[in-house]
Amino acid sequence: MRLSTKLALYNTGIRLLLVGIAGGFWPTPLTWVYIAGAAVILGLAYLIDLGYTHFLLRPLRMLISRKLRIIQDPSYFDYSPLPTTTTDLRLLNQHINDLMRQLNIRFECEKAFTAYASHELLTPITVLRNRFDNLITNSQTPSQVAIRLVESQQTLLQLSNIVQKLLRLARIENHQYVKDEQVSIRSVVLEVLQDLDDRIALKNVSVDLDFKEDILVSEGNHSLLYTMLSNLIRNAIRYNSREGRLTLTQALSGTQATLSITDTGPGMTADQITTLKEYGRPPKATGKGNGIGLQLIRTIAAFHNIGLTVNSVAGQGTSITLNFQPS
Amino acid sequence: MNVLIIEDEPSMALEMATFLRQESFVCSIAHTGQQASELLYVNSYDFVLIDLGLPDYDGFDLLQEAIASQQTTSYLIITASGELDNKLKGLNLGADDYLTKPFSLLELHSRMLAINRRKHGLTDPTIAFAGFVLDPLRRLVSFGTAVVDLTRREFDLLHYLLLYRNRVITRLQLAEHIWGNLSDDESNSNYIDVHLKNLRKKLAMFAPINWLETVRGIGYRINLTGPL
Repeated sequence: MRLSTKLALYNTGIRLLLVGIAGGFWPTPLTWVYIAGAAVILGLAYLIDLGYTHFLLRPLRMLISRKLRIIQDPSYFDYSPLPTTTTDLRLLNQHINDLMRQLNIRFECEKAFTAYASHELLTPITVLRNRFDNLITNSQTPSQVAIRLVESQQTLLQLSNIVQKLLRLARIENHQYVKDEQVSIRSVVLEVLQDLDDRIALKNVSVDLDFKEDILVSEGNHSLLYTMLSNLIRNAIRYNSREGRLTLTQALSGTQATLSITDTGPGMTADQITTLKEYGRPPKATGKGNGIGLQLIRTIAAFHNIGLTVNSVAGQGTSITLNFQPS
Repeated sequence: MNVLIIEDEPSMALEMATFLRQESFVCSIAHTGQQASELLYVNSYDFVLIDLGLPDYDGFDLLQEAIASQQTTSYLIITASGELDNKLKGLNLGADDYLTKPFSLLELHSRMLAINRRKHGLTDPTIAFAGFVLDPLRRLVSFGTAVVDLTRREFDLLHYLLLYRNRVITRLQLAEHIWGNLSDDESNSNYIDVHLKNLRKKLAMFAPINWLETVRGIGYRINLTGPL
């Protein structure tokens, strides 16, 4: 406000001077000195004003840079008071701290729930697993009963997989995984391809690997990135046509590295694509899966700041591109 | 071998003990940390299987206490938490291995055998059967001087079936063994069947293989009596 007033005064002065010149009044050297002095004073006032505003807003900048911008997990939030005497900013800081404390309690509750659910759900599943194992191998179990037990074991496996995937999703969302490794995407891809070599061979899928340069994720979690790439490549093999093609292409788009996984399968449905791309969308079960695998891919990608682009053409195949942020 | 199972869930401890007793282990069970502590004070064990989630004791404290009193014993941690930190903490304290729930009893047994081999330096795990010789260290199967050309998965399946010969192994157990975390695909059963079909074909080129049986609706069994 002060600044604009001064600028307005300065503008008015210049305008009067111009009117004067136009009216035949030519300023004397002394007038020029006054004008120059006024300009210097105005410039100084502008600089002082800028510095003062900068000084006044310092606590707000600290609030943004030291507290809000770096926040990943509320348990690491900096609750220290702001070095300011301005009541409004102190109150703002206090309210943000209170909000983060509440968020932290919710995070801790969720962590406790995940640990509790892990123990309370996985223990009975293990008991049933082990009981089925013992009954199936018991020579006194009639073969017809053993066959039904094997079927029950298969159902139990599905339940166990769903529970484990949901727990894993909760742990990622809750930042219970650390990202402290430098991960080479080329190495992970080669690892996955080796682990899936028999499936590739049995389905007679030909693999094209076009990896000119490695992609390094500087702050990553190897286990999670393996899960994400394994799920993507496994889907590309599983839903590929027999004697189909799987292409893995690394490229550079500006400074951004990308990895495209392309198959020659039937293509993804609109629902599947939405599950893969949209946060918080409940997975929709299809005849071939429950969609949690796609959510897991999306969540791991988001955890690592990796963008996902899907191009799918019915009957021709799907291409999923991972867009890695420059490190 | 003496085994102490420390597990607060009675039915789980019972299933583990039933299985291990069939495999000629002598098993004791403790349902609380207090019971385990008392048993460890009085008896000595070859193996301690310890569930970290005990109601009255911190699992890590109990592990530390047990290792301090019985240093030659092998310790295997059982945990419901898949968190890497817990696994690393247990291994750093001196545990030999860990298993995450849910696990199969065959997997538990395999881990115990592996720990035993490692600790006691058993270096000749070669298995001779029906004229064939399987060498796990060189990952090679031979018949006389001829080498049977097996893929990695075919070798793993044959090795696992031989380790648990005369016992029916379900397709699920086979899939879990050879694919581990990748075994959640429902089409695994088909892959196992294809691998076994190929394995049969390759072995039958050298000798009759009527000892490799398909147990309808359940899985596979190798029927071989006598020491291998």
